[in-house]
Amino acid sequence: MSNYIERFVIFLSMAHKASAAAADNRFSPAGAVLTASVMDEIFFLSLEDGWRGFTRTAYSFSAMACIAALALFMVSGALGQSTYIDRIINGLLYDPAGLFTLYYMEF
Amino acid sequence: MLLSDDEIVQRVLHGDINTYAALIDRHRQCVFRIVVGHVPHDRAEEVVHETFVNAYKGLSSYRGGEKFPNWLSRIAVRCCYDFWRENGRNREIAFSLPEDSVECLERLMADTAMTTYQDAARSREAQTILEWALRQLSPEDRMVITLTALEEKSVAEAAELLGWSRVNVKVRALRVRRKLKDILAQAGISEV
Repeated sequence: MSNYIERFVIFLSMAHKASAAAADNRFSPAGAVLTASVMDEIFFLSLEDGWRGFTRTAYSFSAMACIAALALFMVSGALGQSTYIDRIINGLLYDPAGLFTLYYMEF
Repeated sequence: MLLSDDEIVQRVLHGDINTYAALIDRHRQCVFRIVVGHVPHDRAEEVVHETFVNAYKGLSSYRGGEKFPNWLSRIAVRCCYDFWRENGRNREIAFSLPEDSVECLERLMADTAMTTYQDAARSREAQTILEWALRQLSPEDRMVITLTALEEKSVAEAAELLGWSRVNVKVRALRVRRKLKDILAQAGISEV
């Protein structure tokens, strides 16, 4: 590589260091402002995380409830106790009021 | 009692987010020194802010065995790189070198004395030349030349900070020097 390129790079390096040193003194007064602005953003991020966490939990809970219902359906069917399940499904499909009656009367 | 960086990280991860302020206070100067070497001074605070926010978001990936400032430095360098990837496309606003800076550069290139360089490096023209030269480069080349040539970091250090392979950094560093030759030629400066 040509020698004058190396000299140019050395000059750029010196200019870069001088620039960084000059900037170093400028920053200290803004420190508290920076901390406050970052903490504000983090606070809002944590709120978002909270909502996302809540949504995830609710989603997991409903998924678990579906799995539990399916398991109950399969187990009761296997044990020959499908009557309740049939009645629940029929009630749900054709007569929601009947389903609630069934729930209060028989469970 | 002064908590260590790792202890603060653990507290933040367990929900005590306010203790993160202590990490910012402790390391903001270090992050600023890195950032100011890569982005324009008037945008440095914005990138430092971004660095600490990104560090917070990635805190769960921090491994306790490593020094926290090293981990934070990597995030800072990558935030600078992202800054140039977002803003580097405005190269059409890259300015041409003013007449007085061209004269300054011609004088410097003709003179081989280091003392001349040291004096000139602190001048306004030097800052203009530095900014002008770096603006001609792509974000990748800019990061590589800044880390390896201007900040004199080793290839291994630059590779780690950027998350690139050593070979990639080496090849780019070589190409950038070739580009600098073209950049100088644009300004009408060739080897004496």
